[in-house]
Parts: sequence; structure tokens; C-alpha cells
Amino acid sequence: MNGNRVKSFIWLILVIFVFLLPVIVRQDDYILHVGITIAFNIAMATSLWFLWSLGYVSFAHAGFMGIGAYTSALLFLRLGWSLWATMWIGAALAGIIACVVSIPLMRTKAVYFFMASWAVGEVIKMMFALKYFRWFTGGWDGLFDILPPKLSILGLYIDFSSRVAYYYLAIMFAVAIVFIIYRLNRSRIGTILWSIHESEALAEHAGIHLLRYKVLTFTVVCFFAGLTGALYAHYHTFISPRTFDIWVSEFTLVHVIVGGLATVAGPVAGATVLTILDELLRPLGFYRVVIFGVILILTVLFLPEGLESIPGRIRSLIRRVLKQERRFREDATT
Amino acid sequence: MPLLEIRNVSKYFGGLEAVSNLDFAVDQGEIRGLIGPNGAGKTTLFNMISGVYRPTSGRVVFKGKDITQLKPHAVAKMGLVRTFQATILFKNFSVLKNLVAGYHLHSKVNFWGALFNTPATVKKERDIEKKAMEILEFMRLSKYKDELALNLPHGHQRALGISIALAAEPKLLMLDEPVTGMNPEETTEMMGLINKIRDRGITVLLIEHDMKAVMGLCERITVLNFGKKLAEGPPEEIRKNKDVIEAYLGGE
Repeated sequence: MNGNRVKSFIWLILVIFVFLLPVIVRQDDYILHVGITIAFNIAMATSLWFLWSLGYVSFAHAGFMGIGAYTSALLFLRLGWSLWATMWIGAALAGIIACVVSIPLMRTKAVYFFMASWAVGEVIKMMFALKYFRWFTGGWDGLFDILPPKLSILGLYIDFSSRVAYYYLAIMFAVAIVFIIYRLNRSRIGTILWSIHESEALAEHAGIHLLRYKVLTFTVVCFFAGLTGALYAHYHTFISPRTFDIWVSEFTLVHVIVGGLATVAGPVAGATVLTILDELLRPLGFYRVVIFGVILILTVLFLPEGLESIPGRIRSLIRRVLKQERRFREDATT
Repeated sequence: MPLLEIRNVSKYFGGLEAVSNLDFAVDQGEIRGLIGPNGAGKTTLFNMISGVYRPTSGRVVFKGKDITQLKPHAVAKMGLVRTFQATILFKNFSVLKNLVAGYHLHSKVNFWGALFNTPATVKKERDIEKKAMEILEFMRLSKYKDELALNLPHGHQRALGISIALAAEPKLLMLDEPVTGMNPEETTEMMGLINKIRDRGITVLLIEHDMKAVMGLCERITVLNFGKKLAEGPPEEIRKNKDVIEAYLGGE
């Protein structure tokens, strides 16, 4: 109980820090930009991790992010609808496509699923780039001028082209997604998903409809990816098929693995630390990718439970040192 | 009306005939043994009943309903639950959580309840845990409830496998070699438990190679050989049956 309370306390402090960040950094545009990027990466990594609780890893995650982004951007550019409506439509479309695609896709397992989801991601990307639809989706050149929305509510007028405003928007959605996934994971649904992860045969004989839960989870996860995509598009104001390349899925996966796979803290920690690291290493240009590879390998070798296991490791280290010291003192007295 | 009927069931794997034209019925409330030499088709039959395989021909009828085409989760929902020959558990779950997962069929998922952790959901989870504890108590596993399943000794792991099946509250429990790899004391204890499971009103169909256990537990035994029914009857009869002795020991 006490440990739980400490944990909630730490989370609370983190959330307060995150909400006060614009004040702390005096609205520094660059740092807020990094904050927004972290928020997007957390949303992506956490949703990908939720799929992992089933035992699956999807390389189509960036593709579904793209569906949300393109839908939202096109509705804005062609019809002039605002983000407040288009983001939900984009997310829903990503969810619907995910639902349809996952019915055949989820009949495959392990490596075959990686390959199949990879193909799905590539096909989605190529659809955006299709020459035939160039007049509509912009082909490889992408879409421009996807402006952030404005909001006037309760006499308050907020223009989201301001970094601070968009920072709060992105953070709000990231926190909401993390919270929803955290709760679902702690509930019966989480138990069902992890039991499928542990043993499909046993789960099925306990009466769990495997395909239904797999499709449902994939749909939810891709809905969140689509939502993130819509927010991403209206922040960067420019998207192209390359924005939703397989690399994005892979980096998201690296965030999850480096962060840790056991709890929702893993993807949050992984996305935060690696995004900051990515920014610090920006001068290295292309070599960043190499460093990320090295980090991934080192994590798997030396920290297999990921960054989230560090507090526990420190705690047990302190306990061990204290014990040794006590023994040392006892030896000294006798 | 028998609880479970196997009507003229055959299963071919390519040209290999694993089970052929098999007919038998299990009555409500009995402990039925299914024995036979290796490769006789016992586990194949279990897989067909529980929905893992479709029979090539024939029908499986449970509680008067045709379940031949049903998938495992649907078969489980009907009240027909099995355990596995290999020790299959949710290995990284605590013992209690294994049971909670096993309770899936009797606990509705409520999305909004899960999201906001409503008092109703919390209460429901408590009730499930209480029921799970009753089963653990019954299977004498309650003191290991917080232990990870993979850390249990073999005998307890087998018992946990049966507990998970019991959590689904079956009408018919199919046990695939429940006492395999157990020492004599564990075997005796497990036999007692299986008897007690039957006394709770659950019909038991079990595959077992340990003859002492089968003869001691079952009212009736069905013997399979090369996918065909060789004999059926009470243990005393089976023990004296010439065909059965021949199948096991070989001979002219």
C-alpha cells in the first residue's frame, strides 16, 4: 500500500512538472517543441506497448498514424473542417481500417505477423504516395499548410499556432492515452490480453475468444495512433508519405524495448529519454541511427527489463549496501 | 441421455487414421477413464472434443447439442473444459491470477467500469478473487497464491492446471494425464481430489497411463487401440479382458 502511494506521488509530481514546464523554461520555443515531440512519441510508444501485452509487435503503427494524419489534413484542406472534428474522424478511420485489416492479419503469429504488418505499413505509405491520387493526396510531395486550430470557449480565445497552447494540447492527449491504457491494462481486459500473451491454447480453453480480443486491441491501438497522427499533422503543418515511414514504427519499437515491456511506465520512460537523447545527438546527423542501434543492443544485453527497472535495481542495490554495512559494523563490534 | 456422445467419429491426418469410427458415451456424474497404448488416439480424441481439431467425419454431441464445429472457446462456454498433457499454465502470473484469468467466462468485461475503476467493478473483481481462493483452498494451493506459477513444484503445477479448468465452472472436465510425473503420495492426493471434484457434480473424463490410478478412480473404462474402441466396462472386467492384455503386452 505504502509503495503504491509513493508511486502515485511520483506520478503526480511528474504530471505537475510537465504542466508547469512552459513556465519553468519561460516559453522557450525549442524546449516546448521537444516536449511536444515527446508527447507524440509517448502516445505512439504506449499504444504500441498495449499491443505487446497481447504478444504482438506491429510495424504498421506509423502507417495508421499516417491514416489519422492524412484524413485529418485532407478534411481540413479540402473541406475546411477544424481539427476538433477531423482528429476524431481520422482516428476512427484508422480504427476501422485496422479492424478490417486485422481480421486476416491476426491469424498469423510472431514473425509472420511482423512481416505482414510491415507490408500493411508499406502499403498504407504507398497509398499516400500514389501518383494516381496526386491531385488529392499530394503524392511524394505531401500536404502543406495544415494549420493548427483555433478555439474560443467560455469567452477564452486560444490560437493553437502558439507553441505553449499546442504543448498543452499534445500533453493532454498523451496523458489521456497513457491513463486509458494504464487502466485497461490493470483491469480484466489487461488480464485477458496478458493471458493470451502467456498461452494462447490455455486462454482459448478458458473460454477466451482469441480473435475477438486481438482484433479489438489492434483497433484500439490504431485508433490512438491515428489520433496522434492528426495532432502531429496540425502541429508540423506538413506531412508526406515519408513522415510515416517504417522507420517511425521501428523507433517507436526501440522506445518501448529500451523503456521496458513490463508496465506502462516502460514506453513512457523510453519515449521520453530517447527523444531527449535524439535531440542532444542532433549534430551527429545520420549517425544518430547507429547510436540508437547500439543503445538498443546494450539495453537488451545489460538492462533486459528496460529503463523502468532502474528504480527497483537502485533500491535493491541500496538494500544490499546497507546490509553489508550492518554486517561490517557487527563484525567490528565483536 | 448421456452428457457427452461421440458418434461414429473418425480423424485422418493425411493417410494416417488416428481415430476411426469411434462411438462412446459418457454419463452425467461418472468418472470415465480413457486408456490405451501410445498412439491409440486418446489425445486426438480430446482435441476433437474440445474443438482444437475438426473430426474428418462423425459428430460430437454435448448436453444434446452438436458441438462438432465449435471452436475451443465456444466449447468451453458450453461447460466442457480440458487440461493439457504438457503442463501449460500462465507461467508468469501469480497462482491467484491464473485462476482469475480462468474465470473469464463468468466475469463480464465492462469497458467504462475498467476505465474508471468504479466501485461495482472493484466489487466484482473481489468476488472473482474470493471464488478463485475457494478453488485454491479446495485444490490445497491457497498458501501459494502469490507465488509465480513457474516457481511451483511439478505436482502443484499439475494441480494448478486443473484449478484453472475448474475456474471455468465446467459440467464436464477432461483431464489429460492428471497424475503423470507425480510421486506415489502426490498421485494418491490427486486421486482424492478428482473424486472430490466429481462429488461437486462435475463429470470427469480422463486419460491416464498410471493403471493403479485409473483402476482406483474410474467406474468405467474405455480402451482404445489404433483409433478403435477395444473394450469398455468396469475396471475388473477390463483387467481380465484378453484383447486389452494383448494390446498392452503384445502376444499372439
